[in-house]
Amino acid sequence: MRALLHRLSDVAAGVLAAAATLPAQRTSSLERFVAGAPPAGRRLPEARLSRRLAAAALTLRVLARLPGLPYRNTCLFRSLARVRLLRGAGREVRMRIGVLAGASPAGEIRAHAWLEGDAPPHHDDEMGRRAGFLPLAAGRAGDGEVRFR
Amino acid sequence: MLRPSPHALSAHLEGQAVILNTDTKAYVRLNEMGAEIWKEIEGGIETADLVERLGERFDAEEAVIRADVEDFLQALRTRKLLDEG
Repeated sequence: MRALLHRLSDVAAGVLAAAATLPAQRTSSLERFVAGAPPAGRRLPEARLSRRLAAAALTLRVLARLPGLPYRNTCLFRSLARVRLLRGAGREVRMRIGVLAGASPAGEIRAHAWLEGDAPPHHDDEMGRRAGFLPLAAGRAGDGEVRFR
Repeated sequence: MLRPSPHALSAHLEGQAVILNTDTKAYVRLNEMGAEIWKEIEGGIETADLVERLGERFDAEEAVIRADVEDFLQALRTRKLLDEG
């Protein structure tokens, strides 16, 4: 019974974390969104954390495909969902955003968001995906981390 | 004193700079000249000093440089990338 409750609560936590990225996508600043993450909780076992992360990833994929909804399954919003779950599970993580030199063929800035610290890789080739992206840094005193305040 | 907004994250690459406003989530790409000015702003600088430094580097009349700098600063203000406290 306890295992079933854990399973249900993990799936719910993952779904909620993905759904909660909507404010960041629409109106909220990244800092406010990250600051709204639950305070660092007690360390959750890896299996439960993995279940939450998988539920969040699946939920974002589904939400992004539903017509009429403004969700996007991009690295930025995957990172936002993951940062909330990881923090809530007692993991110390930092969110980074990096850019590539040169524009895309369409003239757009090519950016990538990722997590550093006590975060399991989201992709098999996590480092390869980050290759070439120069992390953005704050001009004063900061180090470019999108901070939890 | 001109400084980057606390919401501004930036990177300098290949003579250009890219700035992200984490509040509006908007990116801005600066050309070589803009990147140079942004570098000065990152260190904290008064507008008059900025004009003077650019005057030492570029062969142009001070009035022209001052006008260009004001235009550039206004563009940064519009994008909420400046802290002028």
